[in-house]
Amino acid sequence: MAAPDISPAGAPVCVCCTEPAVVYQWTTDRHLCTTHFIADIEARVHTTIAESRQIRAGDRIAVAFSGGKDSTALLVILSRLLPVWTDVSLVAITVDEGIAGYRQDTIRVAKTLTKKLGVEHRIVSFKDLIGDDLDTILAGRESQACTVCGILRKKALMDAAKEAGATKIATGHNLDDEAQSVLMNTLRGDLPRLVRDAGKESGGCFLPRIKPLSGIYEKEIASYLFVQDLFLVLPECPYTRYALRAEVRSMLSTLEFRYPGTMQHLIESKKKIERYCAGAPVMDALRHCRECGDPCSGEICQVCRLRHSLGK
Amino acid sequence: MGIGAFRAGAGYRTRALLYPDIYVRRSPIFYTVMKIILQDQSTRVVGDSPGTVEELLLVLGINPLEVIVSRNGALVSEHAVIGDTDEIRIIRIAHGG
Repeated sequence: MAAPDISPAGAPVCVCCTEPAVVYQWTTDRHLCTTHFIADIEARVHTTIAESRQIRAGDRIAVAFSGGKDSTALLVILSRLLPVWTDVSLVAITVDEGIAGYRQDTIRVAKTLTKKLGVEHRIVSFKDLIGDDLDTILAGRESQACTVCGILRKKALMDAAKEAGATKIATGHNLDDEAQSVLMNTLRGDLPRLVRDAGKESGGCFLPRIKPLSGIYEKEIASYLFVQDLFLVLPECPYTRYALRAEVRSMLSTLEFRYPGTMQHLIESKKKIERYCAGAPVMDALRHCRECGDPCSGEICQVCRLRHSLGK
Repeated sequence: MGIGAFRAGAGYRTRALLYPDIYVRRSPIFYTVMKIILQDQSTRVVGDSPGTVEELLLVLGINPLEVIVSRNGALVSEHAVIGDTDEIRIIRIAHGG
């Protein structure tokens, strides 16, 4: 890294102006002030959306909005970019899993922000979906927390988005999340999941999912919110510690610090594998669950399988 | 004096005990006090000559990519020089939301 110019306040100076920098972008070796950092993030998200045509005229985007930092940044950025597109609307959907001491705070924050941004907000719960909250479902099976929660959350979100008339679901997955998923799927030897493209149209079976923040590092998202007084210290999900992801996150974060660009390289590798696999029979053919009719890869979908295991 | 001085020695501890909230080291070399609020909200007061945010984090064993840092309430980059009477807050980027 070239030595940055230091302002009298002891902060490096922005590469675009003379203001003190608030962030350092380690992959491009740039220091940016608040104004240029906000503009940079919003422009990069817009580029991600435009390059893969994630949003088109007439779309109604269901934003998976937990009230946590990633989905907060996503909702703020999409609501600011909204005038760029023709006839596009947003609806925020919050899934209340029923995690004591965790979700109540983020739901409160979610309600406040949607009101401030003037975005329609819908809240759905696991209790409505399956009759119990996550804490009850997980009693004695905490190690499966993320798997069970993921299955139910996806279903709750998909149902709510369809009911809201959405054409796409936008999630707040960031660059760190994407790199972690690549490594986790590789560690599990799960090629179909590695190359699955949830953003693709599927003949009306699934609503396509888009990830506008997939080019933004998690630290950048936290910084983006902090400089706008939108960053809140919220409790961490109590089940996170049971997940393989927690270990992968820590390992990758260390590698990224020591070898800048590691996460981007992982994602680029995944894209190359996707291209090599294009047209190859990697994925099982799409079928429909014999019990609920939802699209799935086996005879019974994961939600119905979970219902059985819970005796529902 | 380099960043190694963040590791409090016996002399530091004695002085910090006498002045728990705000400790000013009076020496012909420097006059610095820095209050550091850690991720778990605990507070440390250290005296040192200026170093960077990144150097402080590494001494504390924190990966700079897993936190954001504010100085006197304003966000600063890893290369900002800190010291004097700065209040440094280290904020963990919470996961799983």
